[in-house]
Parts: sequence; structure tokens; C-alpha cells
Amino acid sequence: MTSRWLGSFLKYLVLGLFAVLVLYPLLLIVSTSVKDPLDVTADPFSLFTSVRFANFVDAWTLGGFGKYFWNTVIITAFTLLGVLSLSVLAGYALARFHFPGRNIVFFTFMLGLMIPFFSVMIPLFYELKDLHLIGTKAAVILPAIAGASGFGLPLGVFLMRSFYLDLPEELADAARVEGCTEFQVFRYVMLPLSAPGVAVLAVLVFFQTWNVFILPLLYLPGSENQTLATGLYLFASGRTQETEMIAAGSLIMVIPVVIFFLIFQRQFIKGLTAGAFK
Amino acid sequence: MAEVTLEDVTKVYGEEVVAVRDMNLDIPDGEFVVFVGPSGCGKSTALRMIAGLEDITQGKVFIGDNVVNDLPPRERDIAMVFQNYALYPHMNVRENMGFALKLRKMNKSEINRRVEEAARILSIERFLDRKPKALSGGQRQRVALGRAIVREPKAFLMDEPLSNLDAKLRVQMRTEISKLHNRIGTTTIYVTHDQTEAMTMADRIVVLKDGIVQQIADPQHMYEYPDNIFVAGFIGSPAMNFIRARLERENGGHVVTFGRTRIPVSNEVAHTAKERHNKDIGEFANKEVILGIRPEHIEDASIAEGMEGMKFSDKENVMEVDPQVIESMGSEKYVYFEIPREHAAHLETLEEMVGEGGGDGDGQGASPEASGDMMVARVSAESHAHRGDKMRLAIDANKIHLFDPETEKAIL
Repeated sequence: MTSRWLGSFLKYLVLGLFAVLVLYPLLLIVSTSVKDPLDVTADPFSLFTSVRFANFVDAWTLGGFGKYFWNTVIITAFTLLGVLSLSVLAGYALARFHFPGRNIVFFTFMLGLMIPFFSVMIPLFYELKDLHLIGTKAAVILPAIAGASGFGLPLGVFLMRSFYLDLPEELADAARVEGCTEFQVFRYVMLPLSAPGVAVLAVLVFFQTWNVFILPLLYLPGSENQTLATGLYLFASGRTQETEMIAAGSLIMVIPVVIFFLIFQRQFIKGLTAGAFK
Repeated sequence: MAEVTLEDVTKVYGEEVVAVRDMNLDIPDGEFVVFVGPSGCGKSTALRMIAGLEDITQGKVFIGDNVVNDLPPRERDIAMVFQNYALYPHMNVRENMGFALKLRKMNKSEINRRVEEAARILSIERFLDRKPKALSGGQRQRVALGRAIVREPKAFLMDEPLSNLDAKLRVQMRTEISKLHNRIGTTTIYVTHDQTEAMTMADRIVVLKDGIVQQIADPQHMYEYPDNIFVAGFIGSPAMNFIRARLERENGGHVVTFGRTRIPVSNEVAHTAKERHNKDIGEFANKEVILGIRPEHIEDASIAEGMEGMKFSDKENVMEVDPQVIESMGSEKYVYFEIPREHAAHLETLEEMVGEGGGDGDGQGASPEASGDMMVARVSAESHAHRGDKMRLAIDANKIHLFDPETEKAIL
């Protein structure tokens, strides 16, 4: 009895420690973001005593986070659109159609997962420069779609191909007999059924792109085009005194991620466990 | 509705794997045809070629008057029911059934009218707003049928539609599909490996083996006059017994002998057989033949006395056996017994069928099927057959079959 009690005590102790480790900084940021600047200077680690939303307004306008936010939204939206649409199409083709060179195409995509970004970032800079893309959002969007930030087309094609391989061919046959063209088979039957896979991919790509740091740092010089990740970095290194604005800026960056995850949570879990239970 | 014709249809996979060879078949409008055979015999491939889901290597497929070889499935105006139902999981029953009509841009009220009509015929009105996963196997199969009938297609193609159902439901759905066919009368091609389904549902049966059509006939004809050993063994449950016997000429007639059993063949029977099979059994006189006797044509001799068609004596149409297993089915008994090894017909053709067809379709369970040196007789329930007690079995001499051991073709 005692040993069992001791066992669960230890278990919860360890879990509790990790929870504190993760939650404390988050709590500190939330707390700091609504604190009065004077309170922050007086006691940086105390909890807030009053709520001051003006920090967010200041960060949004004075800190430039509004601009960074929209830049990030545009880059993330286009990257998502690119990765999702190309991954479902390529994944479907690679899973369902037999054509010469099919495996070569697939393994070329897989190669993209194996090459570290750091080994190509300089050549890529020159490539983008020659294309006159440096300083434009395309300089981040295109490499991000290609997988330079980690989860791009290579992962997307791999993931969606596996999904389509698992869907029964009889469904496609049924649709063909019922009157579907090959595109309609994809559009009305296969694509809706791969929604959990698309959700997993969307969440991963969204997280990745929203937080991507090195790509905009390298390829988006100038404050005009900064994203939240690089903007926060520049802001923090430039105005070290205004901790409450840094905290508010951090929250501006974190909140959309949480909202996005909550929206796709159910589909995301479904996608992760797809195939695990029949 | 339309007729479906296959002209020398062949399917070759890769370089040399022949799935279907020179298949010829003429299915008149409204007929219910069943393709039956063991796994890998080409029956599903043939069906898929008609559907357009499989390319045709050689030959022609006609639906109505048109050659459809090069038409994609959507332009063939056929409906198909699959073994795994193939219902779209993301659509409810109503959407599943109306999908094809929606693709054809039919107006909503007409789609609803047709879907509801089909649902009423199949008694699935209550489930129209459910997703397939909330339905039982039987209900899903009804939806799959409903999806086919709302289309009012030229022909129905069914690929083992009852294989996933349990035995009882299978028998029930079998009757329902037959009823449905009687009601709408659309040309139907039905694929199964279960000879019971073939026998009970078909207007005509097509038996396939290794991609080659073995026989095309109505169920009764096929049962009574199988063209070869394969068909004889495949159709009927329990399966036909095969015995290595000799055909002797005697007093101007013929006698089949094995062990101490003698079965005379009347000249009249020999004559009709000659006309049917184009072969004179006289050619096989004093040679080995394969004798086929259906279990239902063997009776306990003590009961067979005086039964119509059963003419036997101490010397003729009788065998003395030592029962190994007796299965009582209530209405009848199955008596399993061994025959001497030299008479056992270990036929390659039949080895392939172990576990196939053979009439396990009613869920009667696996019986020690008559194979090799084991034979089975289906005797009256009143028989006092007892394991270990020797007994005499009478053979209905008019119902025996003889096959050429070389070609395996029927000669009687």
C-alpha cells in the first residue's frame, strides 16, 4: 500500500516538475505582457497585479508587430497553400498511377528530407539573388514550399502518398463505374477521405512556417519584410528595456498557433492515429 | 437494359499470365448469369473487363450493340456492386445512393425520388441519413445494391457481393437479390466462388477454371450433365464421388466395375450419351474410366428396396462399405467411407477445389468432403448406418457419370 502510494507520488512529482518547467516561462510571458512597465522594472519575476492591454497595442503599432504579423500571415498562407495543394496532387499521382520513373520521382522528393538546409543556404541565396527575389516574400515562400524549413513538399508528398496507398482501390473503381472521370475520383472521393492526412500536414507546415527564423533572416533583409520570428528577435536586441512589449509581441506570435491547432485538433489526432485502428 | 456479349475475350497480364482465355458468351437482355469457379479462375477479371476497370487484351465486349472495349467505365452505363461494398465513408446513405445521379447533373427532386424509391424497395429508408460506418454488413450491402438500382443501368455487375456476410444473412440476401432481379429484370452478371449461390440464383451458370470457360448451362442441366470432371466436382453439394473403374463389354452391353461392384449401363443410356457427348462409350470398353456418383444417388440398401429408380441385387449396383464417419443432418445422413486405394481417383483437377465451392455456402461447416479415397453417401434419415458396422449401399445406376481419364471429359 505504502509503496504504491510512494510510486504514484514519485510519478506525479516528476510530471509536476516537467509541467512547471514548461509552464513557468509561459506564465511569466503572459504575466509580463499585461504588467505595467514600472512594475516590470521593479520586480521582473513577480506576477501581474493589474492588467494593462495597452502593451499589446504598443507592440502592434509602435513595435511594428502588426506589420510583422501580416507578413507572417501572408508567407504562411502561401506556403500552406503551395505545400498542401502540391502534396495532395503529387502524393495521389505517386500512389495511384503507374508511370515510368514513378519511383525515381518519389525518391527524389525523399532526398529533400535528407539534405540539411545549412548545406544549401548560401547557394540558395545566390540563386534567389539571380532570380531577383531577395527581399521579396517569395524568397521565403518558395524555399519553404520546397522544404528548406523542414516540413515542405518532401514530407507532404511522403505523408499524402502513404495516405492514398491506404485507401481501398475499390472505392476508386466504384466511383469510376458511377461516372467519375479520373479527376472526379480524386476530387469527390479520394481527397475528402484524405482530410485527416491533410490536417496533419497543415498543422505541421503551419507551425513550422509561422515560426521559421533562418529563412527570413537570410533572405528578407530590411525591417519592412520581417516576420514575427525575426521581428521579435530584432525588437528584443534593439529595445532591451521594454520587456513587457517583447512579452506582448511573443504572445501575438503564439496565440494564432494555439487557435490553429485547436481548430484542427480533432482531424490532426485522427490523422496521426489513422491506420492504427481498423 | 441491354444484352451483353463477349467475343473471344482474352486477358493477359504482363507477358504470359493468362487470366481469361477466349471467352465467348451471349447474355440476352434480362438474364441473370453467374460466373463461378475457384479463386484465380478469372471470373472477377472477366467481370472487370465488362465493367471497363480492366483492359481487354484481345476480343470484343458488346453492351447492347456497341463495342465498349475502348470506353471508360463511366460511359458504359453499367452499375457494379463490390465485395467490400465500396460505399463512400464520407457520404451518408442518401448521398452515396444519389452520387451517380448528381454527377449526371440530374435535378434534386428527381434524385430524391429515385433514392427514396430504391430505399423503399430495399427497406433502408430509416438509414438514409446515416453514414456507412453506422450500418451493419447486411445494411451496407443493401445500400450498395440501392446505389446500383437508382442508376437504372443497362446491366448490373456483382463481384462476390455476399462474401463478407455471415451464413444466415447470405442466404437471406441471396433470395432478396433474386427477388430484386425478378422485379426490375435488368441483365445481371454475378461473380461468386460459391456453387450454392450459383445454383440458386442463376438463369445460367458459367463455370471457369484457369481462365477457360468449362461449361455454360442452366443450373439443372449443369447438375445433371456436367461436361467434365471439374464441373461435375464443382457443382453439387456434397461434391460428386469419383472412382477409378473399368468399363467392360458384356452381353452386347457395358458394365462399369470396381472392386466387387458392378454397374450395368443400359444401351439406351449409352445411346443418349453418345448423342450428347458425341462420343461412343464403346471406345472405352476394357479400359479404365472415371466413374462419378453423386452422394444423393447412393442410398442405404435396406431402405432403397423398392424405391423408384433403384434397381439393385446382390450382384449389381451395390457396394459393401465400412462407414468411417456418420453425420446426421436431421433430414438425412451423410455416410463417409473409404474405398480401396487402387480405386481412389486422386485427380489434380479436384485438388485445386479443396476449400472452394463444394457447397460450404450454406454455412454447413467444413465436412470431410469426398476427396481422394474418402467417399460420401447421402442416405435417408431412417438409415441405421453406424460407424464401424459394415453396410450395403445401393447406387442409382441411371444417374452415374463416366469420364475419360485422359481428357477428363464426360462420356456418360
